[in-house]
Order: sequence, then C-alpha cells, then structure tokens
Amino acid sequence: MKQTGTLPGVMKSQTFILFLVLIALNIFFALMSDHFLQLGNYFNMLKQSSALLLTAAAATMLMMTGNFDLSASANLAFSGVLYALLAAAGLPLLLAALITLAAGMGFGLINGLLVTRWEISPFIATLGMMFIGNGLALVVCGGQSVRSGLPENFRDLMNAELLGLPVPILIALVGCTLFWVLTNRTLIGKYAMAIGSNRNAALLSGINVNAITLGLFVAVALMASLSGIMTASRIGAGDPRIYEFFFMDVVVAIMLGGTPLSGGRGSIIGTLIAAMIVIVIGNGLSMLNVLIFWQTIIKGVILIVAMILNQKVKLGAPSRSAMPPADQLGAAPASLPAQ
Amino acid sequence: MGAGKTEVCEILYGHPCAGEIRVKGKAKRLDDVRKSLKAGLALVPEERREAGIFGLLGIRQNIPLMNMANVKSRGLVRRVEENRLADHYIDALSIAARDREHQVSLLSGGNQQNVVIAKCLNRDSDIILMDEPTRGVDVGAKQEIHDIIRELVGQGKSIIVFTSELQEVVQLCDRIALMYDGALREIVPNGPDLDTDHIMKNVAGEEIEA
Repeated sequence: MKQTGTLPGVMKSQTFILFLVLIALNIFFALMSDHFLQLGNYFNMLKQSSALLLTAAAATMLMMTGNFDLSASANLAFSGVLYALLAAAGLPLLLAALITLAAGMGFGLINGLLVTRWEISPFIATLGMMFIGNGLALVVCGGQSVRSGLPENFRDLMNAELLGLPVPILIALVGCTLFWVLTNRTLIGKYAMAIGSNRNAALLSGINVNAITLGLFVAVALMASLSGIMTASRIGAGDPRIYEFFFMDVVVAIMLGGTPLSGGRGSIIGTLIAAMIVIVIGNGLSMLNVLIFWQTIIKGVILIVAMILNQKVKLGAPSRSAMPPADQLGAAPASLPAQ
Repeated sequence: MGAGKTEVCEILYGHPCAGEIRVKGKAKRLDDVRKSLKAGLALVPEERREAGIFGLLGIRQNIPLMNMANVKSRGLVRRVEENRLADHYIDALSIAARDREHQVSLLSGGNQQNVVIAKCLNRDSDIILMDEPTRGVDVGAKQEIHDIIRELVGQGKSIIVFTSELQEVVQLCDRIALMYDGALREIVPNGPDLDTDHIMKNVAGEEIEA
C-alpha cells in the first residue's frame, strides 16, 4: 500500500506550516523595525494576547462539537465593564471578579440551554446573546467607559509578576495547558470530537451530547468573562466598546488554526499558534505605523485564506485514500498487507 | 416494508413506548439510550454513515467511544490503552486498514461496519441489536460479519438481527420473529425443516390456515 496522509498527519503538517509562518512573520518584523525583536515587546505581546489565548482555546473546544459562540466578545465587554463598576463601587477585587465570572457564566448557561434544550441553531442563539451582551455592556455604564473611582490595585492583576513572569502570561499558560489536556486526554475532549464528527452516532453511543455541549458553552463564557476582567485590568478601565477587534481575533485564530465550523476535528495548538500570528501581525504592523483599519482588512484576508485552506484539506482528504470506494471493498482484506 | 422492525429496534434502544420491556426477566424502562446501554444492550444501527461511524476520526478514536472506561485511568485517557484496544479489534475482526489511525470514512462499507461492531463489542453488552448488519456490504464482507455474529453467540452473547433478507435469517438465526405491518405474526424456530414459503407468506401478510 502506498504512503498516504491520514487526517491527523495533514493537521499536524498544517500546524507546522502555521508555526513556520509565525517564525517568518517574526523575522520579517524584526528586519523591518528596530523595536520589534525585544524581550519587553514580546512580554507586551504575550500580555496582550493572554485574553485572546484563553478564550480562543476554550472556543476551539466548543467548535470541535460543531457549535460556536458569537457572544464571547460581548461577554468580554460586559464583564470588563461590570468588573470595573463593582471595583469602583468599593468591592474587594476578588469579590468583584467572582461576581463578574458568575454573571459571565450566565451567558454560557443561556447559550447552552438555547442550543441544547430549545434546539435553536448556535448561530441564532449566540447572535442574539451577542446583541444582548453588547447592549448590556453599554446600559450598565451609561455608554461611558468606567475609569474614575477605580482602586489603586485595579491594574495589579496584569502588571504583577510571579517567578519572574508576568501574571497574565502565567494565567494564559495554565489555561491553555488545561484546555490542551481537556481536549486530548479527557473524556470531555474525546466526546466533543465525537459529537462534531457525528452527532447521531454520539447519541446512539450513549454520549450525553447535551451535557457536554452545555458544559463547553459555559467554559467559553467563563474564559470570555475572565478575559474581560484581564482586559479591564490591562487598560485600567471598563470599556464597553472593546469587543470589536477581540471578536475578529478569536474567529481568525480558531479558523486559521485548522478547526472547521462544522467541528469533528481541531487543534488547540493550532489555535494558539494562529492567535500568536494574529497578535504578531497586529503588533508588528503597529510598529510600522500601519493604521489599525488596515490591520482589520489584513485580518479579513487572512480569515478568507484560512477558510480556503481548510476547505482544501477537507476536499483533498478522500483522494488521499488508497482504499477503494466503499462498495468495492470489504471482500479483499486478504490482499492487504498486515500491519 | 414498514413491517416495524426498525421501530422495535428503536423502542429497545432509547425510544419511549407504552408497553413493558423485560431484559433477562426484569422489567426495564428503556426510554433513553443510556438506560438501554446500562441494561446491557448495544446497537449496530442500520444507517452506518449517518448513525454508526465517526467518519472524521480514526479507528483508534472510534472504537472506545461506547465505553471509555477501558482506556481511562485516573481520569485521563491513555493513548497506550487506545492503541492496544484498536490493535486488538483490528486483528480480531480483520479490519482492513493501513493502520489504526486510518480515517473511518475512508474505509470500505464492510470495514466500517466492523468498526461499528468493534465499538459495540468494547461495550461488552450481553445483547447486541443489529439492524440490517450486512446492508451495503459485498458478499465477502457479509460472510465475515455472519462469522462474527456466530462467534459472538458462541461466546454467550445474544444477538438480535433485524433484517429483511430471508437468506440471512435462514443462515443466522436460532429463532425467527416474523413481522408484518407493525405487528408480530409468529415466532418460529430455525431448523432443517424450516418452511421458507410459510415465512414468506407470513411477512407478506397473507392469511395462514391453522
């Protein structure tokens, strides 16, 4: 039998190509700007990307089931504003964070119940929740970003260091490791992949499809909410309009990382590398004084190219098979070399 | 057709019904797939591609999905155990594949069916429901699946085969339940003096004189 590419093989190579692209981008920007290739800039980029990495990792897992959450960015904006408001009202930061996370989790519960119990398509359900979340973020703060009355330690979460590493980077590291383990080494991950691959077969195999789906919607909401808290700490304010670019970055990271909308496969590592590509492009272009509006256009182009690549992988897969079509084989196991 | 065999299958496997179901003499409520699995049933569904295989995943990932306990220890899924399980069933059911990572949607019909059967066997259920187990597979693969069924019966499993092929019934079954238009007509034992005309008349809905 000829050497053939299995899907994991293709995905691995796709992740590897992404990694090469990331390196190439780093070299490109290092050559173009004197300020890019500096430890301080990398720490800065990682800090900025910590929220994106967390949410994208969780959202990748959800997307493996064939579901997705358009409301994550609205949740982030709402959570950031709520956290700032609670902090400004004098609540201890930990308590403010816990209340915010609980409220953010509400997004996930509602999304999950709409999709699992009422069988509304994830697109409609989470689009509705995105509108509601964006509106809520504006309503609770009267449309003004929350800047005054914040306690002095408000920005500590993002500026503190532990073991010589900035805390947000550590949080992202722990979070991403957790989601990698969940995806590749636990039942939740195996079931998520199975649900995305074939929902009916998952049901008939006794997999609790609704519980897994609901749980992952909640996980995404929690990470989006935590990202909101982290973003508010980083910029030192609760800004209800922060969501626009975040939303795009999450989508580009997941799609570019090789997880299709329909689910059934996906890669946390791919998403993380793609997220870093998004961050490096944003940072590098800013250093070259490219307007943020142009960055948006460039990311749009990247998204479309990523989709074309994904489509190619999907369409290309069957032709890579060395097995004859289904209706011709079955009788011929003897002719195949034993593995 | 519309004899109601798939409906019987569904009722045994998660579909609510009005009547009483007894498994090994005990009355059970099987209105949820997980309850049926717990009661010791497992299903090889008729629609292999739509409801049986996880096409995008490899053989290794497909086989444990009905019973992950076999590949899990201390909360984590062990790749070594997944590999061991896949190798075992690829060998035991002679699944023709390049390797255990072979994407299942790219296997032949007969081999896909063997993956579905392997998934059920890993569950170690006592009663296996097979709805049209050899539909869409060629003659050789059909023979293999029949051999597997006989071997399972030899191991003490009960297999309920739902089929519309007389030949399959005659070759495989110990007891034959004949259905027509949603109702059970008769249960006949298989044997050398089996009257196939009688069977055909029954499932065609003709009146039988006593």
